[in-house]
Amino acid sequence: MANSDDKILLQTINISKTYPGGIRALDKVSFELKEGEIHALLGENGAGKTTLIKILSGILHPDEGKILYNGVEVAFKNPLDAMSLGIGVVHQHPLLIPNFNVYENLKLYATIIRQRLKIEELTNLLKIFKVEKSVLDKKIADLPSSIRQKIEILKVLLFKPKVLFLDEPTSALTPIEVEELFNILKDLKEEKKSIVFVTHKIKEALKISDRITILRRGKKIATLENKGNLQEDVLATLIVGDTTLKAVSEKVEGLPRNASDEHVLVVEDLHARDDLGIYRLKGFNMKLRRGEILAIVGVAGNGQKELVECLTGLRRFDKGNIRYFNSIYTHIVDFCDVVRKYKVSYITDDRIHTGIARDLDFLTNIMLRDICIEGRGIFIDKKYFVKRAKEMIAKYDIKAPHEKILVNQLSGGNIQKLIVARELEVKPSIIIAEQPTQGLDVKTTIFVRSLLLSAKGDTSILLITYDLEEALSLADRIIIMYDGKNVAEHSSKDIDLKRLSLEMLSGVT
Amino acid sequence: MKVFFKIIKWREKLGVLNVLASILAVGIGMAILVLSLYMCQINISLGLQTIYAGSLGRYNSISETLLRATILALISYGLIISFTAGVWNIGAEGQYIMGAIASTIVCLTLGNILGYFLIPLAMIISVIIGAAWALIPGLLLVKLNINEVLTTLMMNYIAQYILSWLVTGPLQDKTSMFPESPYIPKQAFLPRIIPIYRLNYVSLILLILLAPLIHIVLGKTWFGLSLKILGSSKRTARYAGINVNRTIIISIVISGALAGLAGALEIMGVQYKLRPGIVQGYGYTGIVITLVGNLHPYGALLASVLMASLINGISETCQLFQIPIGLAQILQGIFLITVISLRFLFRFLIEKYSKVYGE
Amino acid sequence: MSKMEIPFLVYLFKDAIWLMTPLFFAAISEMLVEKSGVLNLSLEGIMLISAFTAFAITLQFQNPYLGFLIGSLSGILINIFFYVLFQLIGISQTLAGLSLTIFASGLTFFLFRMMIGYAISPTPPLLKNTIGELAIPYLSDLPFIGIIFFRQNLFAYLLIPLLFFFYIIDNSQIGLKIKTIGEEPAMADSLGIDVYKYRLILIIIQGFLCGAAGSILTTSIYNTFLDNITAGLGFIAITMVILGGWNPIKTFISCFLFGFIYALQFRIQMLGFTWLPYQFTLSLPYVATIIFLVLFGRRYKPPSSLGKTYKRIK
Repeated sequence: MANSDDKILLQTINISKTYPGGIRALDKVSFELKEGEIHALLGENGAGKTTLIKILSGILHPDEGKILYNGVEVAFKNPLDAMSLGIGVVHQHPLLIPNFNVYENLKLYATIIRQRLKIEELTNLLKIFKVEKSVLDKKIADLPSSIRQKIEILKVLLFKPKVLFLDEPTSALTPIEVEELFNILKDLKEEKKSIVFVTHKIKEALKISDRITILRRGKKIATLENKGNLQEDVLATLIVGDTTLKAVSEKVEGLPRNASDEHVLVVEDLHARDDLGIYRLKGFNMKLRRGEILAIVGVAGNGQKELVECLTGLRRFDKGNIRYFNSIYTHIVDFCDVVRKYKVSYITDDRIHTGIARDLDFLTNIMLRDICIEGRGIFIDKKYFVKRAKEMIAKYDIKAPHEKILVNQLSGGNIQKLIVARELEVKPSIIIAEQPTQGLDVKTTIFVRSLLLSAKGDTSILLITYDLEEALSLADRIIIMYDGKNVAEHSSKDIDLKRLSLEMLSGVT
Repeated sequence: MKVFFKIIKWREKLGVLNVLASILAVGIGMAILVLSLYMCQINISLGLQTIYAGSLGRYNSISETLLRATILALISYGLIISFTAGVWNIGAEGQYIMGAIASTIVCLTLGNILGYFLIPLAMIISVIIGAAWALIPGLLLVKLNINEVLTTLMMNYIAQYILSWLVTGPLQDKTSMFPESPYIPKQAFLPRIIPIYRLNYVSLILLILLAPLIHIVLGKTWFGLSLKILGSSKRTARYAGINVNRTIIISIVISGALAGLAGALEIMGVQYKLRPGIVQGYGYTGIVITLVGNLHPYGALLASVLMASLINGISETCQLFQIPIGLAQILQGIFLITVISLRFLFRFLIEKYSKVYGE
Repeated sequence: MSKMEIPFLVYLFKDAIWLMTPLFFAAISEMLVEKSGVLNLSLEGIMLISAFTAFAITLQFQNPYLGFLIGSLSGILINIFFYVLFQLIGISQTLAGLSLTIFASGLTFFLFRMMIGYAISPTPPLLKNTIGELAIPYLSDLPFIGIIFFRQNLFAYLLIPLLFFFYIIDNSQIGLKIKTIGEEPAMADSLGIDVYKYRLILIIIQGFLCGAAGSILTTSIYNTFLDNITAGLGFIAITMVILGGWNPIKTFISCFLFGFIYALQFRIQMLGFTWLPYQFTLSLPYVATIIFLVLFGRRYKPPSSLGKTYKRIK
């Protein structure tokens, strides 16, 4: 156990970071790491954990605040500066090149940090991690995610960093492998290494760490000593916060106008793999009722992305079926067909690359969803769309000087308003909204949410979000998604926040 | 600062800037033309007069220029469709050759049977063959993801050798000492407007009518919109529910069909027989015209008349003053490089110096 | 085997090695450039311009080596122009490459006539001084092998050293950095690998090698210049990289295969098979390109960022 007299190795003082687009990812965060301790950084998605790690490893630069290393102020120009001080980072999404084999990746890392790749060390570590030596010749893309995760950790450990950051290192590991990793970390601690362990899993934090720092929405909430006296549910409340509870109580109550028990979108036993062939959906079920808002919440990476892609015809699925109204689809959804028959809208979270055609003008972009809708004829009624564009600009408060402006001249928030406006204005029967307020400032977030709320009733909305507050403030029902499955369902009337947090963060019901 | 603000104002008028780029490129090309005349020690005004006479100055030259412009414009209209969709079909040359071959074969074999139906049938067959020649790389692109630039280019060479084989073998006119086919029958000649000039009704009608048609397709139909979105981003096209593979195939097939039709016009309206001389790099000139014309049919129409005038006018000047031919070819290259550089330079400046709305 | 057949095969192999030379020079340089994520479709144009330059200089100074050198250097110039077009002005690499090729074809068409004279269809002069065969003493006297390997054109002897050089680069730390740029340029940049610098250096090397390939055509193979003398060779070189799966040795083998096809084409014409139209043999390389692309074009995955111009986000 770390002693409070231990010397402080790495320290941040009032670090703040605001992303372009106005999101304040970190707000005056002070954090300290002692020599020879394991320090857990706990928080939801978007709490600012990864941003803090990126700043401490030189990938991002803070807007204000100081970083002290061994009591001396340092400024990292790039990751190399941090690496040369002995800071090693295991990133959440492994920074390995998929087309390279394992050896090439290790070699590249060695080249970058100007060290030699020692074969004995490597063999030794492979043994500790229980990885076959033959893996060295395999391409990263062909490896299962657990081995990839191990390689990422191994890559960093190989060069004996003094400070080790691990950003969600267990997300791809099995419980036994997690156990093994914890043993390795404890050994490292014995060698007086300092470790920052970033996670959203309370159990893991309690198990491995000496101290726990909790972040929520960019702010540090608390730093607690972990002496075996901390309660899981207390931590859960700290992580999620009171504001979320407030959001629930402020929500407009009452059933939607046209709500009925008719199911407009049904997903049964959906199994699908990601681009690398790993199963991300393992038997997912859901039913969307007419006129309601159904939220699917969960920590990022539990299959939400693949679910949306299956629903919108961008991904094939191996098993199960998806039904829109009377049309049942197996293997792949013909989204053009769905849109044509039933006017289904889709608000994507990849707004820049997918949601808009960047080189084209505002007017063209608002027509995008109408391409597939039935009865549109051959010719475009341009006058109608010019009128609609002008109305949209006024109604949705989009800051565009006129409808002929190129969309890449608009800011991210305005592009999102454009997309939401476009998808709502076709008067859809269903909206699939994927993180509709991600990266928006507070004002726009409230605006977009109110739009969705007012669309409810005529429209059934499937909301996929990582933000529990958003789900609570909008949804009539909530489905918790964990590891490719629906683990629990709640009606918005009886929300037990502690239970909800636990289900989301560890999948137990 | 005033200049700066003017640039900012321009950002909303990228279309105007693109037209400006085309005009500037043509201007620079013309300056180089004048410079070349000067370097060849030709009296500049005399040289320009000859160019004018050879292109638009006489009835015959007007007829010839418009004939050539039609063929270039047809190829270019097709390329507008495929380039808009982001499909780099550089095989118009081969598609044009195959169209020419097809129409010759139809005219030579069925010439005496069909009568009035001969001309439409020959044209339809050339359209189909041109389209089929483009369909192959199109299918390879969508099914096997093979770069269309490589395949369309290779197919240009193959088409050329097929042509060369036909005119020295099966289709060769046994009475001629040149590698060429016999004349197609008289009833296959496209009807001329004025009997002594080669300009015919079909060419003129196509030249004038196709531009607005393409303009309507691109600007006013949902199909045109999906081409534009596909050209901008494949992901966005999928998101909008567009059938990406089908749209790619349709766009390349349309461009092949129009190039095939151009081949038919060359045979039935200009050469009246198949010979290697029909290969004049029209497929590549078509690319230049398409880009100088800013992927717009009216732009392409103007650019093809300009290019045809330059080719005809310069060729006459070269013969008269005994200077090397090839000035038209180098001008074409200069047009292309200048216009794309200017367009992207303008765009770059706009993106650099304009503010983003809503921040 | 009869006595007639053996020399035919021997000469076929000899020609295959000789004729693969320009193809390999262009292909191996394109391989490395593509590994860094740049798709250069201006190869054809570069080869055309350098072929002409080498021809013009040789004709002027009667020195094929000087012609070769200047021709190769002209390749660098054109390739830097290509770099400027896509990196600084921001034109897509496909468009920039194609435009340069069209430009080069117009430029050489014009300059060639300017040089040769005013005739409408010039009959090109043959170069008197060319870079020819270099027989290696003793070794060239070996039966068959001597003819195939040791009575080769000067440039053919460079094939193996060049392959060796690129193989070493490919497997070195520099090669690893180049591949990183081609896979994840943003990551490479954040790790302190200068994406722009590496790409520019590779473009310069490629300019030289590709220029050399073009110069070989006029100073050593055809001994003259013709319009569009490259006849798609630049694009076939790009195909070689795809067939070779971005691997130097496999690229070498692909080039040899196509050298063989070219040799076959020459030899069949010389043998005088009258029943086979010569156009059939001439179109062999192009038909083969398409067939091989269909059969093997999808075996290997291209570098992830191929054809995408990297711009640092501030």
